[in-house]
Amino acid sequence: MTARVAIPLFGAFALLALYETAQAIYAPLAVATDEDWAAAAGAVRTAHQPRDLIVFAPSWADQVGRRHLGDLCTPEMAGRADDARYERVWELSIRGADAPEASGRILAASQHGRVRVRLYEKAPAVEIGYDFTARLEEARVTQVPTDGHGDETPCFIDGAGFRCTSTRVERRTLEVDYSPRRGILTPVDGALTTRIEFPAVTLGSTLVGWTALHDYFSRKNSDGPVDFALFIDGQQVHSVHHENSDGWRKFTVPVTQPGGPHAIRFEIRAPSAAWRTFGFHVEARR
Amino acid sequence: MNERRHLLIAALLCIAATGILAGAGRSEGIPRDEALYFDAGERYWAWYGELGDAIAAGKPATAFQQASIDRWFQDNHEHPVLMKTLYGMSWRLFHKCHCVPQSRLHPVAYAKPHRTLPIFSDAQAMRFPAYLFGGLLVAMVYLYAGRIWSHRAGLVAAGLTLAAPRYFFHAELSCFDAPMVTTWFATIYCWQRSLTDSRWAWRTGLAFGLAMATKHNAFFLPFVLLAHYLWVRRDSFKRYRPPPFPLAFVWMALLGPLIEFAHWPWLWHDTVERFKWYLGFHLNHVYYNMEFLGQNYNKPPFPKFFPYVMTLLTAPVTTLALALGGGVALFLRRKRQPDPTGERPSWKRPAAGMSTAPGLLVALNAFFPLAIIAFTGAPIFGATKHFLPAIPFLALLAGYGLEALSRLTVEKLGLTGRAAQAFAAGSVLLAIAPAAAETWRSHPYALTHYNLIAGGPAGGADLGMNRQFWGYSTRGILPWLNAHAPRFAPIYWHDTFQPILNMNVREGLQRDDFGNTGLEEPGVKASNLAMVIHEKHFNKYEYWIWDFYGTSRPSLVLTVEGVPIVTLYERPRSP
Repeated sequence: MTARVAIPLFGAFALLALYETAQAIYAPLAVATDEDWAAAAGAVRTAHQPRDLIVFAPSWADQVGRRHLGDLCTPEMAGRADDARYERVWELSIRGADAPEASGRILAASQHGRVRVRLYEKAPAVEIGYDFTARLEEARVTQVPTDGHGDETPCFIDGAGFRCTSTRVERRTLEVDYSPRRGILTPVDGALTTRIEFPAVTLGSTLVGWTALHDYFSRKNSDGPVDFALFIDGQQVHSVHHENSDGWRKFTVPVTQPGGPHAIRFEIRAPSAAWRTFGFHVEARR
Repeated sequence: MNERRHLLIAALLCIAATGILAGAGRSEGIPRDEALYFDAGERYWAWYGELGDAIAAGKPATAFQQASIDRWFQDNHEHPVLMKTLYGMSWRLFHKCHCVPQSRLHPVAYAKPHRTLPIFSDAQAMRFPAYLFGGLLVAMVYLYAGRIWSHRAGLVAAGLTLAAPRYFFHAELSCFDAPMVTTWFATIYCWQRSLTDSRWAWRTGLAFGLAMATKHNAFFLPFVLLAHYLWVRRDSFKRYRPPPFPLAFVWMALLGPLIEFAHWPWLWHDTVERFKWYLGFHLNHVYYNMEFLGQNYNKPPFPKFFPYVMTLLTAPVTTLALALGGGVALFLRRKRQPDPTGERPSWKRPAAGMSTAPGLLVALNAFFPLAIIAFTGAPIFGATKHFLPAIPFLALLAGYGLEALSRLTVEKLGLTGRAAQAFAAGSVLLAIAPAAAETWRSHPYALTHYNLIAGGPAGGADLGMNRQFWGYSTRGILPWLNAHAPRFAPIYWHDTFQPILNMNVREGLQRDDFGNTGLEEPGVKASNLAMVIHEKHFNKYEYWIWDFYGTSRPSLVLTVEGVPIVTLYERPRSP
């Protein structure tokens, strides 16, 4: 270091020190307050409609947002498979963040302290004809040995789910890549194939579904695949070989014979069952 | 100033730092590991009580039997016991005893109250040795810088050592990571002096032994000393002769294992097997979770740049900038300076009459603790705590950087006398102010804190950095629970486990009627109040609460600058 640069360097150091000190004192005071959030939530409530989606940005502000709008932003909404069924999107944002769901024409915008509220018009919502997760109670759940040597064993209804040989099939909020996803949790049960059959489903134009491995601990402790198959009236129309890295994996199956009733069956099995906490969500779209 | 006055200043710095830590520690939550060490400290102390009883009964040997030792020292035998024993002793000496009525909250049942010097609560008494180790570190940093550079650099370095948010947090806890910084630093200090003064060789061995008795990080100390020594004595290699084996290494080889063995009764039986187990535990340590740049890591391979990025995003930026400047200034002025005594080197004084390369030693120690994590494949779950020993050396570099910059600026401005002194004093304050402000800002949730580069806690959350660990932040929701929870409420405490709750009650922070519904799904199902402590991999616990409570609307969200750290739910009442 030479004396020539000493004064500019010292000046830079002094500026940095002063700025960092000031920032450390000021920044904690410059955050959205409870009152800001309450006012923003109030703005949403005044114009909220049943098929509106509510999102928070950045995503880590989710709990604070739900503290104020958790009655409208239900577990079903928070754990949605995608946002296709919603007509509009309310975005409550701090720090200028944008939610990935918030796009399209802005219908309304307002600022409440440090919380920004925007209402977006979405692409037209899809009509859901049959939500298999929501109507799990209508299913018949059974298990058969995967090797084909043995009888089909019915699982029995136990509360809101089904108790099988050594596992439960139930509607849950799955943790998939650390995000919530509503679906049917179907942990692989030993050397058995689990069958979930809905006997009388009216179909639309497509079946849209997602497969997943629930729970980071399962994904940490095992990496074996899970095989998922979809049958319409006894005919296999789709299969998925799901692995840890697949995340929330989407599939779409065109329906050749809309209407119904049709028998829809899902089958889940794996070469190795340990830690294979598989889950899926499927919906029939019109 | 003479040496005695500098020792007095060091003592004052030690007292001030200890006092600051003690003051701040009163509002710090209790992490999981610390609660384990609280219990271990009481149990270990109980063995000394048993030893006293055995001596009084004329049968001291009974206390040394394996059954007696294992009864008390089986607990938490994955770590050496120096600090836990000190925590237990301090508790025994200084706590305000409510031990009999609160007996069920202790790991040991007490039939009668203790006679103590009642100046601290239970947790404060346990933590006092940790505070003192923090104070000792600050004092040593001041003295060390004074010896190798200047006491003004030492004053800056001492301030910046304490005013490092993550270090400060750990220094408040009766754990091992901050005391490890002290014993690591003590070893380096003694080593530096042992190179030219044989009286410091055994002290190096003693400091190394204490470091080994603090935590296993100490196993890496010989490598950094050896690297430094080979550089200092590189002249030997030019002559194709090995340098003399330093006396300090002899003392380290003697006192290191001896202190490790002597201070740890659990090793007194089945020594080889138990020591092998100890090593094996840490060589095959389970991989916990750590979020880093948006990704959750819980098994190898871990990102090699993790410790560097963590340091870059958590240490005060002014400190980092000064440390960088200090490193550059040291590099530019490097030269071999003959020792004024003109002594010839020997194994007792292996660098007598030579440059001991203190700048290199400081720089090595600023990087080596990070490199251990980066290049050994060690798990990264401790955020910065496993490479905290780098902090005082970064602070030393910063102190040197400021010293060099101030000196040049004073010269360039032509300041002399009082003006020069005032400028120097102002620059010291300017250097410490941002670090102190950042540390103040980070308290008591420093594991959520990120620096100016990251954009503070919210910037850290944007970057997908770990928000916390150890479950200590539930302390922040205790006032709400105390005010709102029904009597005997069954509560799912998530990552906050029973020893923490017990100490919360002993500290008067928490009502004593709360239930604990236990772990995982059964714990959530059985509860009427449930919390999730936010770490990325903990998200699933919040989803369980949604499923079992039927709501995603929290009753309380504890935040740090808007960033959620604990979210609490109430089970909706049936209509």
